[in-house]
Amino acid sequence: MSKDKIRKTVLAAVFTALIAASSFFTIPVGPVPIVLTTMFVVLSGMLGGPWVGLSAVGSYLILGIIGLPVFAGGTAGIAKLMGPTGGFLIGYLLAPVAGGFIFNPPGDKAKGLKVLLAVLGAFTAGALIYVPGIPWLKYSLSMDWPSALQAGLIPFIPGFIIKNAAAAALAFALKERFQNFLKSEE
Amino acid sequence: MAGSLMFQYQPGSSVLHRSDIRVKLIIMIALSLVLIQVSVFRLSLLLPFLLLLQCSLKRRPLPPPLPVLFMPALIFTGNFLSLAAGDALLSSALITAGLRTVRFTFILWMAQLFTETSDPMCLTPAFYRLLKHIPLIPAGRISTQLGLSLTLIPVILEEMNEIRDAMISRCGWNPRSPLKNLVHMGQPLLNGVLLKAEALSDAMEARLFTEDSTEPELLGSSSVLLPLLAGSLFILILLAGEYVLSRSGSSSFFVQFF
Amino acid sequence: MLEVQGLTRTYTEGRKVLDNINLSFSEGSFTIIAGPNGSGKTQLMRHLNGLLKPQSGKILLRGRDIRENLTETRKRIGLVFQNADSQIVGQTVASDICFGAENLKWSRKRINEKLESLLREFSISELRNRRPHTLSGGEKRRCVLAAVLIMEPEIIVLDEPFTGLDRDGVQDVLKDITRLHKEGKTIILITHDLEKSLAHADRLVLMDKGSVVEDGRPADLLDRLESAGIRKPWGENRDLESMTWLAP
Ligand SMILES: Nc1ncnc2c1ncn2[C@@H]1O[C@H](COP(=O)(O)OP(=O)(O)O)[C@@H](O)[C@H]1O
Ligand SMILES: [Mg+2]
Repeated sequence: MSKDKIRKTVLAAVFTALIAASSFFTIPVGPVPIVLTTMFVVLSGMLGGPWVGLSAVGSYLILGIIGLPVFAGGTAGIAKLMGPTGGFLIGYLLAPVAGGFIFNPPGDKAKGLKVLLAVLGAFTAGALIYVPGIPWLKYSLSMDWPSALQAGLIPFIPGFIIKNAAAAALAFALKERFQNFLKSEE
Repeated sequence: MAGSLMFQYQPGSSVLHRSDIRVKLIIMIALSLVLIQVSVFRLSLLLPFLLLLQCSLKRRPLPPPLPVLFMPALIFTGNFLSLAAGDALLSSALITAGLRTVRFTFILWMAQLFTETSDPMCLTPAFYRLLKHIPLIPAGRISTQLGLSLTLIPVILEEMNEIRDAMISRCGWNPRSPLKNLVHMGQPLLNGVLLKAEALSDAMEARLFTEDSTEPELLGSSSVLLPLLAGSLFILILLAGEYVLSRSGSSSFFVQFF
Repeated sequence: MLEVQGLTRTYTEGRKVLDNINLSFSEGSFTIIAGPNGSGKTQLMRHLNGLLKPQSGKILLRGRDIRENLTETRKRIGLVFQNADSQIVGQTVASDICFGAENLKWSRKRINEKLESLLREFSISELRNRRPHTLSGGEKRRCVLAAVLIMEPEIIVLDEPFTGLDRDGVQDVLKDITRLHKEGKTIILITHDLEKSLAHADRLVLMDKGSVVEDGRPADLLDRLESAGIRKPWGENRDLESMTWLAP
């Protein structure tokens, strides 16, 4: 198999592992511990590109569906995917694609523009997780819109801002190295 | 912590343990799909089936972790409150909320039966065998990718814990600047991940990785036909019985909810 | 016979990480390549089976450029990388060992036979169903070595195989290396732990800043180690035979 394909496969696998491992791992940021899964979902696309990111997140969902406890809080299974929070998991598939397409700077772009694209990419990708997530939550618990937003969006806003800002910073700092890896000069 | 990854698989020799993983997977998915629409009839027919499978394990069921017990309660209350607050009758709100909760519990139960009896080590070969029949899907690559990530999860988890501990012990955590914390932790983590990817792809290239390699082995003895027949028979009976009975008597038994 | 001719490599900064390397390794030889960190040893090794393409110069195996048929090259030249953890591909020891052979599309029967004999040879039969990351450092290295050997290479290149191992681990790995050498394999061992292994080598190559600075019989080079930036094995006037960690 070509060097290029091997590298993409491996990078996707590493991101899958990173996303899955992060669901076991909480860090004490601010008053409540947060889970970093969404940040790595966003980063898998921004650093690996849309397709590597999509395949990483897809495998992550497969691991969860076949029963490894890799979804938030050590849960797993189709049950979770079809449960009230399943829509967020579907949103995980959109995030890397958007992040990868938006933050895709050729090397010679101005620094300011790169920063802008990184921020835009991270926040768009992060927001896309909520797009299927909230209607699904509303529907599966028969909530009205205000309470669905109250339950599924508002408590997560501070974490959303911090994690996506961090994703933008990290993607900006590391993009070149990851691009070089994927370019795979011999 | 890495141990919790495997906490669900319990080796054994029951019928479920000996059934082919692919068959179990397909039946579980099929039943989950059947349950997208629930009725009292469907759920009450499924209960003895699941009980039978549970008993075939011949051991006491594992106590589920606390959040799992909490979820059905949450689903019930959430559903009931919002239905009752709407214009639904109290009784129908109760039934709908109840059915949805039971459905959730059943799916969870199936997932538990599946994971308890399926060795994760056999999962990727089984997956390969499933996927390779679907055209246009790079089965070899996907199953290798899944297998790789399975081996990497504990390694990366360890690295995450190490980086966090190193930062804490160097007083790198500043509770007032969470953003800085995240970036300071993410940088070495992602660098490490890239180095790992570099080393791993070198090693795979050196060992001539290719998509159409000799098929991975399905470990252990696994019976295919019997469980497949039993499973499809059950689903057939369920659907047929429902069709016939619901035409003769129109009880609320068969009313379907999403 | 493996020949490296005029191999040079530069990265964008303009510094030469490999500078006109000329070496040849005869069949059945045991060469140790030593040099300080960053002297280009790993870069050299990655050229040896075509993971890196020479920017200038070439590498010949039995007189033919190795890039003509990379599959054949990689089958014949086995690389054991520095970090054991990140070259393990399988979920069990057995499946990791089989990986290379599966990629060569051998029949399952042939793979299993070879696997059994390797497990016996390395005395790791009881590890076969273990998850690789739960193994000790020495066990991991031997698992990786077995995984490379399943493709039946003639030449085995090992990059710093002793790092992070305790005494038992070093002994186990060293025992395997010397056994393979006795069986006729060509060994190229990259290490700066001369004290642990020099007694077994018939040739020593010293590298520094991307060039070969010394190349000769170990006994002749002992006095020149320090000038090449290598710490001399501990002890005044130690004789060469004592430079091994294998119990006599
Ligand atoms: N991708 C790369 N880009 C730039 N420099 C590199 C790259 N890879 C290795 N180097 C440089 O090549 C030199 C030799 O590295 P290496 O072969 O790993 O040394 P050794 O194995 O002898 O310790 C080092 O100085 C390293 O910084
Ligand atoms: Mg090195």
